Amino acid sequence: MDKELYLVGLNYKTAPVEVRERFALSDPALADQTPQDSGVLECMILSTCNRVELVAVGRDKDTPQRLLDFWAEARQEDVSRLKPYVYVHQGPDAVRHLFAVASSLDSMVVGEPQILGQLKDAYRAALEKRNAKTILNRLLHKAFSVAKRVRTETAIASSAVSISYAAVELAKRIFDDMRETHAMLIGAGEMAELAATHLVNSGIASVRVANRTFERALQLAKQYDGEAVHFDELIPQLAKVDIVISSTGAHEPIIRAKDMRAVLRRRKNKPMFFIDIAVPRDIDPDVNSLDNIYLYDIDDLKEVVEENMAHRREEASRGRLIVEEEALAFCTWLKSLELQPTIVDIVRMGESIAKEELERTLKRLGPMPDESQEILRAMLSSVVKKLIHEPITFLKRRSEEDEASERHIVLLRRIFNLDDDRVPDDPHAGRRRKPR
Amino acid sequence: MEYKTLLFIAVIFCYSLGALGIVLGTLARRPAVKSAANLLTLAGFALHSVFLLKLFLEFGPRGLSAAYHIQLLAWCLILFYLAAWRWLRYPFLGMTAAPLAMLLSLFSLQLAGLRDILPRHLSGLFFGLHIWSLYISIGMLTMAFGAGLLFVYTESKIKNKIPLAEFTKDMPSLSTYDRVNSVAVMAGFPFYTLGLMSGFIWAPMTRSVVENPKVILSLFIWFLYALLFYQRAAIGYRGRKTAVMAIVIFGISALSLVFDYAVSHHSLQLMP
Repeated sequence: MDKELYLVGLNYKTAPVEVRERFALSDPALADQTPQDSGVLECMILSTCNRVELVAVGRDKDTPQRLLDFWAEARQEDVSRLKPYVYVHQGPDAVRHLFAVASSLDSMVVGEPQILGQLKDAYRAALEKRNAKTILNRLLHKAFSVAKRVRTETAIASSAVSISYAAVELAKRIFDDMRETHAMLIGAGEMAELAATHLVNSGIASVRVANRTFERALQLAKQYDGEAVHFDELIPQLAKVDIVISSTGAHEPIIRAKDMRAVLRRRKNKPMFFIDIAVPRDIDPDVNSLDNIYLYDIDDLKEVVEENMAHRREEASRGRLIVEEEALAFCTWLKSLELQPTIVDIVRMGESIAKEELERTLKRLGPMPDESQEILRAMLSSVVKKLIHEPITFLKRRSEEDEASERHIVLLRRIFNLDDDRVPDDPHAGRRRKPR
Repeated sequence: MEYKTLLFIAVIFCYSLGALGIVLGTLARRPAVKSAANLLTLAGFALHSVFLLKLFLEFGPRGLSAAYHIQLLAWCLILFYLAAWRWLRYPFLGMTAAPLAMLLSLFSLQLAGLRDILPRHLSGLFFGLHIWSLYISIGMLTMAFGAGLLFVYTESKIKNKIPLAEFTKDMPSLSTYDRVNSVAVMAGFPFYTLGLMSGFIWAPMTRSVVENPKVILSLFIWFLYALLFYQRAAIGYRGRKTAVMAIVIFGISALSLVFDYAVSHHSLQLMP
């Protein structure tokens, strides 16, 4: 074996957060220290809050140990403290794992898009430090295209998996142009503010903020470049907004169905979407029974998120099939790399013989026009190509078909004596039967 | 086989595959299938145009069959769909328009041979006003029906917090369905009124139809249509109620159409 791909790492499944913190390799300075001189030919470090992984191309089976030693040393820790949390993948398993990571199939929230960006950053760092060469370059480019394929051919990232984002997605199912919708934030709270931020990012026309403390309303309105509303003006103001996010600490509903009937009349029945994140609820559940009003409380949104998560998990199994298919194709290419030196040697040998024989023949033939010499050269080149075509095709086919390509490489090297081995005068003397 | 028959078979083939492709492509979220189906529908429409023009030139406005009128309606539906797809960017209307056009084309086969002979002095006006204004209004009603159907489906899911099917992710929002429904009703009602009035003016001149149940049904549809128009324009109704009403009006109109060509005065069976 000449070169092999290795991946060592830990992630949120194998290591608790304290361990992940202790062995994080997010410091950019570490990229300089990658173990290049000790049999590790190429190396890339991926370090995020949920995983630390080292992807490397090494010459021998000690490569994973070298990577672990480097890793522990970089964190000034003992390698024995790291080992229990680490997984090691080699060859096809490493390829499969990396493709799954890039496609966000191995993420805590399946389908989240950040991991691809983080992987791209890690690759960029490896490129800058010249730690990524032929194999890692191809591997990472392939990983990015696999990730894209998984995202486009499956619905892995199509549904919202956070409550605030799910609310915005629902709003988009009701209103056709978010730029023409107006929202109101009632009260405050982390989740409500997050939903409002998502709405603002989706391009809504304006945000109004109502709070029992007007100063707080002003403060929040400033944050969203919106307008503060006095709390006692809440119901009349509702006629001017399409989306309402409510999260107050009130113990009784602050918006009731009877209030909304009048509001709807004033709005000429234009649809409204209420997102009630408060517990106890701010909006009377009967409001949902009115035509053109859609009310979702925190449990409804949680349910949407859970269903979306389940859907993503289903889609992930389709994504894994794509990863499997692509990993197989990549490994075939990787295997073909093992053949390259032998193929190059065979071609060189053929060309060298042809050149020698041509020179000898030309000497014997005497002076000859350039055109005739060129024809002879082309003929010899063609003979050599045809002669070596079959052995090379055989080697490539065997390499794709079975695991024993190394045996065939050795055999072919011996047949053509590519390594210039000295053959004894009687090589089979030991095998021959002795006369009785 | 006569070339007109071949042409008609090609039209049916294109419409059928187009309708199937549009529905399956939408449900399975396959844009390539939808695009291919739209191209097939477009090809079917072009062939249909040639076919209808050929028949019109051959028989003239007075000698056209009942099947021709039904096919003209199918052609109108596809025309409306293609216009909505091309200019309004509402490809979802294909979900209803394409299968309906296919069904109408197949239905026209049942009426082959029935010929509606009009008095010479009325044929021009009849074609210009009665048929075209009614067909435009039915085309509009089909748009309202398609948008209404999708509105009711999507709205009931959102309202009752039931997960939406995957294919709806490529579909427009409730507001878009409602707007299409509104535009179709507001534009379609005047045409329906015009078509009906022209029918009432000229029909007694050709045959006795006042006591015909078809007339009562047409008046009933007009009344419902007028109510929907009034609710939309004056009261500002929108959403589920108007969507359901558009579906009901379309349903009754479709029944009326079948009834019309099966037993009523548009059928040759009652012709002298």
